[in-house]
Amino acid sequence: MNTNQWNRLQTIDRRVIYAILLVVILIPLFFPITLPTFPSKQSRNFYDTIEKIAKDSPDKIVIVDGWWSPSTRGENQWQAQAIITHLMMRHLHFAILSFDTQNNTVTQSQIVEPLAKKYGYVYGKDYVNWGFRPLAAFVPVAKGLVIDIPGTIKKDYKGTPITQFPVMKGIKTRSDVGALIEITPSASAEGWLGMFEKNNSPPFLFAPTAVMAPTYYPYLDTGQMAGMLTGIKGAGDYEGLLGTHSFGSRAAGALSLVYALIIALIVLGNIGYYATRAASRKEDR
Amino acid sequence: MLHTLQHFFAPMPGHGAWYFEKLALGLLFMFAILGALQLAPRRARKGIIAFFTFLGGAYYAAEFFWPTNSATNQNFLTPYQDTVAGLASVVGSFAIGLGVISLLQNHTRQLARRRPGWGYSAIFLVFFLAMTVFGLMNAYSAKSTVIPAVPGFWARQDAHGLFQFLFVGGLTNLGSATFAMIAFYIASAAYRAFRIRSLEATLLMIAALIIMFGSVSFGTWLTHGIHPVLADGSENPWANLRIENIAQWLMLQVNTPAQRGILFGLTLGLLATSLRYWLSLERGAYFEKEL
Amino acid sequence: MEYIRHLFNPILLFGALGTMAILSLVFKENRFYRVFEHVFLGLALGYDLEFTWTTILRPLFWDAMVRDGQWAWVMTVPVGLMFYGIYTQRFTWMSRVVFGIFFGLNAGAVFQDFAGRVVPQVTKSFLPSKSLIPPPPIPGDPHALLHQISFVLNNFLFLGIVVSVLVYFLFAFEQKNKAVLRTAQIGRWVLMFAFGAIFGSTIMTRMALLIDRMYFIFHDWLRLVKG
Repeated sequence: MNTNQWNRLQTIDRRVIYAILLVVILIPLFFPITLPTFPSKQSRNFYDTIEKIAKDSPDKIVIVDGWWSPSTRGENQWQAQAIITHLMMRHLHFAILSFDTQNNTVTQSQIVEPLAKKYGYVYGKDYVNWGFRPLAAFVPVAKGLVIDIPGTIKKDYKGTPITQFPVMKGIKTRSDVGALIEITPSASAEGWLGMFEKNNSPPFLFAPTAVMAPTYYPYLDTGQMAGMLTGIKGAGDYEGLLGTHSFGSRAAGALSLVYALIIALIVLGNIGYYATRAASRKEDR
Repeated sequence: MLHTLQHFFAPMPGHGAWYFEKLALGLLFMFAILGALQLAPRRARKGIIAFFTFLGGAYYAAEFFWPTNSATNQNFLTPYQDTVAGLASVVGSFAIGLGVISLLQNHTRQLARRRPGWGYSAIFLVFFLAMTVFGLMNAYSAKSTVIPAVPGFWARQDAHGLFQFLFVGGLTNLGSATFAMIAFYIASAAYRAFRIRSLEATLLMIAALIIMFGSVSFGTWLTHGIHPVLADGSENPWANLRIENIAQWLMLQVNTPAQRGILFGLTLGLLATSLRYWLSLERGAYFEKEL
Repeated sequence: MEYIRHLFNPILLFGALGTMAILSLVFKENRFYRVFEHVFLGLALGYDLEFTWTTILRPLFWDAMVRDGQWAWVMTVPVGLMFYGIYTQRFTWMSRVVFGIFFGLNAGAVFQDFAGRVVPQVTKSFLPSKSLIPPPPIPGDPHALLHQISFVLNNFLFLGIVVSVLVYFLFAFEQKNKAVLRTAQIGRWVLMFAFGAIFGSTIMTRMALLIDRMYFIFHDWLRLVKG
């Protein structure tokens, strides 16, 4: 190819790239790709921790805390769905807590309620919704949960005192918590690790968006976190471990193709760049 | 003394004698403090802000450093965390009006002066009002009828249904769509902007490639021929070269310590900045403005 | 007929039209996008206002003060009003007082955060007994020696990387010492690697969000994708 052709390739209309991206995402949705996936060690640890709680301390309550809103539902919603499915399969009691205004409504009505019907979970008996707290109250809430759970939470999302619910019977302090699960697109783990957790007790399970994940590996290494689900890949891993195949597994196929596309684009872009440079140098001479 | 105070501040369900007087007194008392602050000389203002900032931080600092009772692991300040949580929530929530006022101001002005694009402002106001009204109706009486039934055309619509329409149909989907747009820009940037021109860029590229390959089935399929277990049932050392294992090793052995280095660097910065905020030593445009 | 009715389900139709309108921006700036942009803004603001009242101010403030008679909550009103000082020249400084209290609240919690979150990181990194002495071999492990060697090598590498990144950060200003410069250079390379890992996963997050939108349109709404 000569300089002109390379130049044309370099200045290709960006909308062409957008259209290719859409096609690449749609193909595996219509024709599912079934390649074997391998759950990462962190996903497996996440899963095993829940299994262990179900076996060793089924009377404790699991806190599912969400900082995500629908803007990251592509990853966080499917993580939440897989995790809550697991809790229900093992008949663990859990409490929902939110530090994002939209999170509580979405988690309750779009994830927990449909799953509760399927697994026969009853509100107040098997699970409870502790409602929303603003970020300004994060520190006192996290610290308060350590010593006095009913005193810190007081009422559920509809204003009923939580001590009236059978699921809260015997739940007083941090030692009655089976695990803290954090589903988030933002830097929320730091606060829990600093204000609530002590030597990974109760186990801290982290489900961030993929973009957040690399930053948190140091906490896995020290054992301050018991497991981590990396974005949609983590949700897919989890669905695989549970044997429920939903969006996470479906997205894995699309993600494979998209990655191939991105790599191809980077390679093509660079070849074009160097070819144009080399060709123009030749012509200069 | 403490007892008298407790008695004074005690809740009065049923609004007994002095309830409304106490409400008025409380308001008056706080406004008097604000008035006194306003009357203080201008040059004292920085000191006043510094004092309240220090007071805000003092509670947690003292609660953390004060020796705790070994049996309960608490000190005399610990039980007030709940009060602090309530106060921070309520006072912080009063700030919601700031965003509402500035957006409403902006859009009503557009509308009133019929500036170009005022139609969009009208749409903004309609959906803002609809969400506020039906949201509140949903919270107070979800079953109340908003649109009566028209036989053979549509069923009765209650407040909950309308709220669901606005929240699930509108807000959640529009929020996800807004953030999904970035995917297109990343694809275009990969093609046009990601140039491998230096050793640093190459390293960044290699790391990104390995992480990408290691996390999708397309990548792991490339090395699936290396079996994790040898024929005699023992562990195969070569399995370390499977792409997902290389990615895992890089994440644990290279990414983890690098991130920890960043973490230490950030922590030192965070400690220093926090202390400077707390003790009002921070400098900069916001802090040095004339008051 | 069933299918047509499904396509016109108000919730799905609103979501699908909105999604397409927002995504259309990447192809061309258009009115369809601008309309739904303002719908989104209006809904988001209305929801925040309603939700703040329903979940915070009503139960913690209004109900506590009016129904339960905890009259002292009224004293938070003037404090909250201080935020609004920014709208006037005279009282603007008052907003700084209440912002200051919140600055202080967060800053004061930093000590416990350091002790609870960061100290375990320090001890794990710099206690040689934890990182440089390999655990005893598992009986019957045919690769016991290999495992022990890799344990020590991996941990040396780990420690080396932490130190080099720290050197890069702490000696960011002008440096003449060759050893420090080289270490910082290694730190820089390793950081590039860490940023590469973040870049790779950023692509995952962003693409997942778009895949989710396509799934919504073609699976939930159009029902062209099964399963």
